[in-house]
Amino acid sequence: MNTVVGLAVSVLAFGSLYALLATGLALVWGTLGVFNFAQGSLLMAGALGGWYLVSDARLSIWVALPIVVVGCGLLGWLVYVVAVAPFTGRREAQWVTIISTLVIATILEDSTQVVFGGAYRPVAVLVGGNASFGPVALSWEEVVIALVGPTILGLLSLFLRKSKLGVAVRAVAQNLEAARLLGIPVQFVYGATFAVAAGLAGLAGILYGGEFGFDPTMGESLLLIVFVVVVLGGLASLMGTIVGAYIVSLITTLAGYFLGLFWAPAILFLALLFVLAARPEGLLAKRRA
Amino acid sequence: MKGSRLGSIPRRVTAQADVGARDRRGLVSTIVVVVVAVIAWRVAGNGYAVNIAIIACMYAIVAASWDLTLGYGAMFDFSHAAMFGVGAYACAIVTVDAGWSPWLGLLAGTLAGGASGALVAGTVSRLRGIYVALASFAFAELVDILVTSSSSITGGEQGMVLVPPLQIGSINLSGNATLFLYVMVGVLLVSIVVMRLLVSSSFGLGLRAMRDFEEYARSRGVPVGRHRMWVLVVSSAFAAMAGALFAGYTDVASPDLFGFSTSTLLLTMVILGGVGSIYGPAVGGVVMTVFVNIPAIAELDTGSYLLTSAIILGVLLFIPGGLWSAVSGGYRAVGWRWRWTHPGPGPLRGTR
Repeated sequence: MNTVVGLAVSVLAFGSLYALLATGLALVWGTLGVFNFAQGSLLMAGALGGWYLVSDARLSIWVALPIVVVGCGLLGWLVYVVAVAPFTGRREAQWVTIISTLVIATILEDSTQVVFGGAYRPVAVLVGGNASFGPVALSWEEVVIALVGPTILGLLSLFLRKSKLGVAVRAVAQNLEAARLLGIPVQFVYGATFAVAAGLAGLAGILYGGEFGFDPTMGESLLLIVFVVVVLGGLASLMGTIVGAYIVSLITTLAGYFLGLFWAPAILFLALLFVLAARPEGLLAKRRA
Repeated sequence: MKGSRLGSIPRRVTAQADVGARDRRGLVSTIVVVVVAVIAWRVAGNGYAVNIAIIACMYAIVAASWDLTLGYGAMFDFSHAAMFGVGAYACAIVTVDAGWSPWLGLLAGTLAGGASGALVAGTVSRLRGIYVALASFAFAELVDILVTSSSSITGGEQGMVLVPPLQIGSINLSGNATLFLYVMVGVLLVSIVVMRLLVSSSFGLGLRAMRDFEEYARSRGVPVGRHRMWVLVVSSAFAAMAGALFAGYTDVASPDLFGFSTSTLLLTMVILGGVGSIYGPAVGGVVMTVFVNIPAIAELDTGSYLLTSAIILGVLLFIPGGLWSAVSGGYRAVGWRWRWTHPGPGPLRGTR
């Protein structure tokens, strides 16, 4: 009983982390047609911020959290200005931006390594200790992570539907020309989209850091998992991405529990192979005729 | 039968773009040979420089073979850098753990790379565009994880040491660096010639047709799936061969070979050189290896990757066609030659 509930909470917690990260990718892809390889290192930046502000600058984690999310958002905007904006007009933008965002990822990771060293560092948790519900004991942090993901994604959906900026983002994603004609400042919307995606990554980073700590290359392995999420769910819809995140979390958690952590990536990749053989457009994407 | 099917592709559609390239092919290859020979001659006196020149030849092979998939196969194969590691590890495992001869290790490394390439091809066979990059990147990371976590075989994070060097008769090639440099220059030139022959063969013509206009190529009988598989196998095998040579020369195979930084450095070589010529990335490989190993820059350690990243960003922003295009003054039209998502030039332009 304890194990089953524990596993279920783990699945939900990891699922919500993957969903936060993958949603950012899908949002940027849907709006700009750009794939952001720096998303993993933005997550790393979030965890780094969490560690630095709490352990070094002695702030409360609750003060650090909004600073980190906003800071990562601004960093995301900067990434857009430096590595994406110069290429958006070009026909090969999709390919050039793979390289330029990969370069940004390397710059972020390596400069972190140069400044802070490559060592592993713990990041403060939002809520410490264990919760016990009758016979079941759970880590509060995992419960919090499991709840934060869906809450934030719900807010994101609300933002995209109700707010002026959110509607503008969707308008640009759906029809660029018409959006321009209506006077939507497209460059601004692009930058804002990148900032929102980066903020999501920063949030995921500080949450993930609380559970597993921080090191400069943490983004790479997470980015791998998120790639699988994105290939499984398809980049076309946010809902597909979120469902994909929970499916991947289910596969990795169960494989990790029953076969050992070593096999989890292999099982995940095998699952990916099977899905691709059956449905090349992703599990959840609509089939094109 | 196969030949006649391929031969029926109207050359106008794809070959047109390469007329300029063919005219200059002799010139370019001469320049490459001379440059490489001069470098080899100039550095042969100094131990450190010889060492760098040898490594440069290896990286040049990896970069040039990446061009097969990037510039001709129209696939962003992100597992390419990992194939370098696959070759190094396969060679190290069969020589250190199983005690095979280094030459068999080289063969095993190359074959392991080809097999991994086939595996990637299976994964991406029905994928296009961005999804190819994602799936192959996932494969590369998977290899990285498997290598670092199965420490009983691969030494985990520490990597493997004491990979035996190649020997000719009783001559230890790693001990005789100058001789090994000449061997490596030979291997590099042969590799470039083989790759060049490959892309100008009917197979290469099919590849270019696919890259420029996949549906049309398919309709004219280019076996798209098979071509995609073979180009991945061949390019991966070349990278893995370089990796096996690298392991034999430096006598280590370490997980560093897989990371983001290696991928970025290799990509820098390809981009600097310019995509779609084989020569360009090979030259880029030599130039970049020498550059990051200039003592003043190599001292920066991680910082050298930072510098490389800044350079590649600068090249992307200001010299879109790659350094090669800038140096050779319109060797290919300035601007990116990647027209993967658009129909190529020719009578059918605009029919989609």
